[in-house]
Amino acid sequence: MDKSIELIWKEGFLKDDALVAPKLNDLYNQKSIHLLDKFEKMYKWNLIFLVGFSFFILIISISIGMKYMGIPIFFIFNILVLISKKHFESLKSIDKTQSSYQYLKSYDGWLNEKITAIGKVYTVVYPLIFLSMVFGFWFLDVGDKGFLGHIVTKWIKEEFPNTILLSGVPLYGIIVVIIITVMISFFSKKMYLLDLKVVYGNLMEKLAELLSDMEKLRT
Amino acid sequence: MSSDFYTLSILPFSAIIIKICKAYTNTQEDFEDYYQEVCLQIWRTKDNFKEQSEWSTWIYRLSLNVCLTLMKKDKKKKQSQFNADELPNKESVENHTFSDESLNQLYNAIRQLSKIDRAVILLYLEEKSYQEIADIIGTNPNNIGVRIKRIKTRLKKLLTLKNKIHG
Repeated sequence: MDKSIELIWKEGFLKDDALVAPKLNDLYNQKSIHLLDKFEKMYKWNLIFLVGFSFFILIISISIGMKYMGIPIFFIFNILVLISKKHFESLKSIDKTQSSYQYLKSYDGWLNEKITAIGKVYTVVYPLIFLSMVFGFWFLDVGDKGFLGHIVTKWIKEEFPNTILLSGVPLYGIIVVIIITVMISFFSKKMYLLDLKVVYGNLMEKLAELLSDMEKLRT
Repeated sequence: MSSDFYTLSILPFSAIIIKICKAYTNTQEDFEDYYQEVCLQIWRTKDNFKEQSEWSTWIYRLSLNVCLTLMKKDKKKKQSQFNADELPNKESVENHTFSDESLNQLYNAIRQLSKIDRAVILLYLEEKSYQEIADIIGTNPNNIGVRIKRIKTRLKKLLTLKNKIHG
């Protein structure tokens, strides 16, 4: 090697073709396609995970004697998957021939619509999951002794003879379950948004950022 | 990105971006992606520029950071979805070269260095002071001199080896 690296560096860049800046093009198109592809993939995987998880819960709950929890949760999750899948299908109706900005705008609109619609479904889903768990524990099979709920009621009757029972269930217990169910339903939208943030938060932020960048460009 | 901002604030410094992006990519396709991403990030973060340093220093820092981040992402992507289609195409590799053969060899040698060593030597070749290099990279200026000496020795070895192989 005859020349020093400093000299190679200096002389090499003296040639005209060495520093030709590439043309800036289509960057937003590439970024949008990448982002939306990622979102769709995640959405699909999320649904697959829910189906898998519903089977897992079903098998585990039956094997530990909590079929009254496992079976309802299995149906709740799978109905949820069907509803989400239906919403996902509607994504195909967005016109892909629009400009990047218009497409992202439509996508964002679809996403907000979906969040509102599925958010409403969750006002029923979360309380149902809670009730399934309550039923699951109440009817937990503890062998010869019967169900867990009956054992608990028997104990309460012995310890607190004045407890009012409604169809063999302590009234206070029913009131507590009703209050919790109503509260879960009331906070379900917030819980759903939190859930959404954990799974899609990063992508949703990027989508908002991309849209805001493009809006700045248009002004 | 407004064309005014690009023409007035980025294009005059495009040489910096090109030199850095070339050192962190192996194909023209990747180079163009990196270049575009750097320009976009400069435009996005322009309001954060507080004039505590030169605009060119800001561009050096941003270009290096963007390249390092993109390299990390590319590595992850390649590890997770490696297949034959992902191999760089020959034309894109050829277009990535310079007409000056010595410069090509130097770049090939630089690409064999670690990510940080690449940054150090690029800044050194751009005649940045040790203090500036340390500021841009976020390291101690006292170590820069020794590090540069070591990198230069490695580069010389790589270049000599290459020349020996090619006769």
